[in-house]
Amino acid sequence: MPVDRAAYRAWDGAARPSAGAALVIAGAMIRRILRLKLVRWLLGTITIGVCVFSSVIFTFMREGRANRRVAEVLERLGYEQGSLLAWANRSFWTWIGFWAVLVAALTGTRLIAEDRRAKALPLYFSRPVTLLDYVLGKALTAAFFLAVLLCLPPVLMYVIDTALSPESVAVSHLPILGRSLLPGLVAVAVLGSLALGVSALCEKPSHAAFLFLGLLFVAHVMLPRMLAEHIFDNNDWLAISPVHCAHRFAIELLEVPAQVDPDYPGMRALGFRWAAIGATLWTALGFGLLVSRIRTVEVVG
Amino acid sequence: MIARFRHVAKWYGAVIGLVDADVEIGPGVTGLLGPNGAGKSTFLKLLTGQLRPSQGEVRLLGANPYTTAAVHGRIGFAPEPDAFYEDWTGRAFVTFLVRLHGFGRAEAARRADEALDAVGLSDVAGRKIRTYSKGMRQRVKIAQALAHDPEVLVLDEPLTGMDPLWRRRLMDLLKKLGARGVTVIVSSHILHEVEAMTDTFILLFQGRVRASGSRGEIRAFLSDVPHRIRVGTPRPKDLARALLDLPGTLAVRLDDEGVSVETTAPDTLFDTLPALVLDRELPVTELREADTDLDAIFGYLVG
Repeated sequence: MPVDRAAYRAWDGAARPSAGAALVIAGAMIRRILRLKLVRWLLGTITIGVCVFSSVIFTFMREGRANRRVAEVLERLGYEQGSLLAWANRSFWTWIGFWAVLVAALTGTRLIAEDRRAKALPLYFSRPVTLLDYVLGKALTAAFFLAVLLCLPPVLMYVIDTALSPESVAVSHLPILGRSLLPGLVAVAVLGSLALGVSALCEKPSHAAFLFLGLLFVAHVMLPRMLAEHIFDNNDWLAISPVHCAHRFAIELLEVPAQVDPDYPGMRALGFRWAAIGATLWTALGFGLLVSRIRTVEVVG
Repeated sequence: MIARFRHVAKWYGAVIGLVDADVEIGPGVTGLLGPNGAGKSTFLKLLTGQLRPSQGEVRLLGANPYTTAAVHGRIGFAPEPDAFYEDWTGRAFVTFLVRLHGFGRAEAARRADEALDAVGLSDVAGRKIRTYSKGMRQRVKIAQALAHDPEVLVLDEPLTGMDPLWRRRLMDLLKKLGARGVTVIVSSHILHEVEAMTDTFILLFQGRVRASGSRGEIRAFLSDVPHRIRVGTPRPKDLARALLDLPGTLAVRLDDEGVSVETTAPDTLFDTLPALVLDRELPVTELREADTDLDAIFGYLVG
């Protein structure tokens, strides 16, 4: 039997930082979800794809050594003169939304639903684990996978851009990296909190995933369109969608207005405000659902 | 006192879980007894701070377990339902839960191995939990509760589904822990299981604590219920005649080997009996209280 009290006494529960348990929970859950082949495949394919895409772009489109045929193709795809890195990131944001939703549905929605199904909550809460530890641990897990999908590619693009550039651009392109990461962080917060909130409502991961997808359908397709077209007659409202808000941030932050359009009207006029409202609203809804529900789950469980 | 319930009530909406529980729990093994639905799990969840009392106060190790997460570092809890990540191995599961107590990876793994060894699962610790039998699952739950060396061990129906051999071994293990100073609180609806582990009980029925204390204390507390005393003798008729004259005697039943007396004054009977048998030269082969076993007490308490 374990009788070595010295090691146990070395740790005083009262003095333990809250983040310790949260990190243990997050680490274990991340390892567990990484066992899912589909998640590994999705994240791996997208990351490698972004690397290959960036390498091609940054090799062939550099000023002075651009391949004319590749340039023509890219031009047809919407490439405009300006920062290649900003353009590559804008392109990334035009298609990554769907995959981010999918990854959130595969990872975030299972985190609490599984604990409810396995009746594992008493195992957490009969230990020196607070509600904050638990929520933080699960949120970190959801954030990890979304961050790998949404924040790692901009970093990789920046690294590849810097590596392939004939002159040193590491410092001058840092602001673009910062602007590329912000939409990712917004999407991580919005989709992660919504996925966790929905997860706390269900006892089966599959139910939580479908509920999440249903909620996003309503919140992304129906609600913003209704607000924009039928209530306020203002298309800026489209930006409050939980998927579009991050995309809108990307467009606003990564545009090169002076080179593209001398009459660029500025961020506020293009719906930045609505994107900010949308992001705040959905994140608050997700965490609100999560915290209110998990307390009830604890009692019932 | 290790734990104290002061007029605690818990209800879930209109459903009553526990009513006016007022008990104290000391060191050693305490059995929490009651039929299914008596409120045992609610009692244990209140004790381990997973539920907030609707009324009253719970103290465990001097603190409120609901609001003081640090107290949880000193308790080990095995819930009744299977609470597992089925795709984890027994070792990974226990190690993870031990790490939540603040232990490093290596120390947690060492403790997990020790605890799994203590419950006889070292051979299958690397197997996924979904391949475990019901008894093995019970033992994993006990291992995770033991592994961090808790001062208070709370086990909700731990012996359910276990084979007789391991049932016996775990009873011995819990008794040893109790003797070492660990406070062990075991719930069960099977009386003889608990009776084999301890002499201290809390009896729950329909959400109420009907009695608490040792068997003798609880039986003595039931003063309005006649005591049954068995006296063995080869001359039952003579003994019955003598006993009928004693104050408090309500009934005497005879058989070939002795008599069973129902009395409201057992102390008088025990005081008088030696002189009485000597005076009448009655041989006595057996003398015992016939209704101090837990079954009988429980029967009296719940009607």
